[in-house]
Amino acid sequence: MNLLGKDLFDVDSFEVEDFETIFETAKKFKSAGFTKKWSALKGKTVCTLFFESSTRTRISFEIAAKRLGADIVNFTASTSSLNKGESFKDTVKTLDAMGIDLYVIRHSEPGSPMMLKKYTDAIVINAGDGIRAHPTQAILDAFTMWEKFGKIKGLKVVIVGDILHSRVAKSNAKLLNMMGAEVIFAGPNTLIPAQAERYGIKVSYDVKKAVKNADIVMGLRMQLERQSNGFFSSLDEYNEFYGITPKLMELAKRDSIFMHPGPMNRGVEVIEAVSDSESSKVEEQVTNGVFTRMAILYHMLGGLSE
Amino acid sequence: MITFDNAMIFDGEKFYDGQFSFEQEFINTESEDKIDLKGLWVIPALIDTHAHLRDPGQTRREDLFSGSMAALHGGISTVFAMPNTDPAIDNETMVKYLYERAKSLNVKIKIVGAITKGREGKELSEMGRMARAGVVGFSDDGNFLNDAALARHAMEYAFELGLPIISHCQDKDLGKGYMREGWFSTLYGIYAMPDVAESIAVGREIELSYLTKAHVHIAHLSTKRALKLIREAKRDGINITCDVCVHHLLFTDESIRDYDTSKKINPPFPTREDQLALYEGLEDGTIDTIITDHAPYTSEEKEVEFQIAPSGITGFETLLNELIMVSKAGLPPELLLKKVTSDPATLYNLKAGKVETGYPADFIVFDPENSWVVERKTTLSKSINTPFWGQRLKGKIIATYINGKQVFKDEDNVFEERIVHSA
Repeated sequence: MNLLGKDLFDVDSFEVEDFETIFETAKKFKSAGFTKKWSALKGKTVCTLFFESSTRTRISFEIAAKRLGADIVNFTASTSSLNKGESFKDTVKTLDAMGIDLYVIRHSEPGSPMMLKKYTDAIVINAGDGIRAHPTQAILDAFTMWEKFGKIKGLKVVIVGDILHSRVAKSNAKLLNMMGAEVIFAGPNTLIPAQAERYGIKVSYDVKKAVKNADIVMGLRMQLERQSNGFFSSLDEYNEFYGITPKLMELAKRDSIFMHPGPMNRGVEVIEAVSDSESSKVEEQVTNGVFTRMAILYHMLGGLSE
Repeated sequence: MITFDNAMIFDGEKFYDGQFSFEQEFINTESEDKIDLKGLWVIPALIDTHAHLRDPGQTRREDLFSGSMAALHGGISTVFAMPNTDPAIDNETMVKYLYERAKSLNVKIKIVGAITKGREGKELSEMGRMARAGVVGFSDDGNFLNDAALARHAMEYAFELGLPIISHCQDKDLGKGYMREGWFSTLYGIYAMPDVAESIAVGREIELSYLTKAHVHIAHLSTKRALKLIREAKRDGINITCDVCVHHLLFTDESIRDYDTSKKINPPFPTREDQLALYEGLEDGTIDTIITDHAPYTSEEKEVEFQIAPSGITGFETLLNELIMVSKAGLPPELLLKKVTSDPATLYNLKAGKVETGYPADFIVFDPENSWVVERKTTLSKSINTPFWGQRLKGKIIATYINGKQVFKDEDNVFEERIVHSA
């Protein structure tokens, strides 16, 4: 495996062995702890290019890059820069002229990381493009599962809620399928994307049935505006049928975990009794986000051996 | 009189080996000379019944002149100009103005008038007056006329005027989306429209055609389900016809994996299953004609994120090459050529589309073995939004004749060398 110089557009940019290597590296970084500073990426410049607002992903990348000794600059536009009269192309070309080694891009439009690549020779990491993909989230999620269960193969993962608009669910489905987990998308029919089974996963409209014997129950952010667009009728009904409650979690395996990519809409897709319970790995995911992103940056940007 | 000898001639129906002569003025040769066209094809100049010339109002994309030059390069003699200009072609004065300007062009421009004022779907435009000025049909192209009662009245007028309604069938609500819904829209994360966005609208047009007896022509059909409805409607004797856009025969929803905005078109590229159905529809005659839907956009407009980019692809200059590609995929070349020559001529009562005594000398000399690269120096359209940009295409038009006059000549063709001076 050699990830040096590769781009990460989605999880299928890499091979299964690559993820195993990333996990091992992340584990090493994690065991060294938050206080340890590295100089592997000294002299490299990482640019976070965020066309869509995000706090946790941007900060997670920033901390990861800084821990490895890279310089990091942030470009943030609250909306697509197109609306401000400057095209995506011009924005990228301007930044590129300043010598960037690696871009971390977040954009509301699918395919934007590939579009970025047309204008730059720098390495590109997709940090979320519209409703398409969010590979680093899927990698940190898989790492969290791997850390807890020691493997991915054979795990039963149920992803609950608004799959249609979730780039996290889609990248997770791809990666977990690659690594041999059993994945179920569970949610209302209106929020399951067309022909989702072709990810190699199962679809269920009955969350209770789906969660039976699950190792992992993953919630997704449900945006309330989906209601006015007719994707569900009332929050009350949604909660009753698809909400993640302690009662639902009881149907899963005894040592099962709850995961959520955040930000959570407490009381919408999940209630506090679950998200703040012992089985909840939500904060662990955030911590792991830093270490897996360190591992990803380290391998992609040519970490010097120490 | 000039005689072409040894050519493979397509007369509008079939190919045959032979020669034909025509009255001419401008070819620089003795009147008794023969031109040996061994290895070349002579095809009636093509008829494109659906194109966007962007004139007036959007001339940074295209104008009447650049559009007509591009058409001649593509071997097209007759172009139907759709009314989605700025302002829209929705009144008699505008129709007359465009016909007046088109007089100086070698391409035969036919104007399609808007059904409603400003193509806004609210008030009927003056269809009678536009008919008097010579429009060949009516369309709110790009905008499906949502108001069924208004659509009915438009059809009643069209029936009275003996002209077709050309309908872009897409349900307004279901049709929100940037590609066809299916596995690839899920995979690519692009908001998509289901196939029934088209067939639901087609169903309404069939029923309104039944009610009003108007000739309704469905533009750029792209789904199996809509095709099925049209096939049945035709069998029932309803006055409905349809066309398919040539690009839809070559690209599928899967093709936009690279988010290339020059592959963004509306209706969007079909699924493979729908595309195969379109092939069947051409073979069994359900689909009457093939169009380019030539829709130029500037690079500035197209070089943005996929969902934000405008929909449309240029088509004039690659039409014949694309038809050759479709024939390689299994459809007979005669059938495909008929759909851009004699079939549209019959459908719209045009004396065109045939190499036959008494027809205007509008034809193309085509070299099937030659090839060309689609690039700035070889193309004449102002815009470059074609998925073939930069590619080498097999088959090259070496000359286009309109009314016996050579109006396009490939710069490195060896036409003159083929002249055989009679002894």
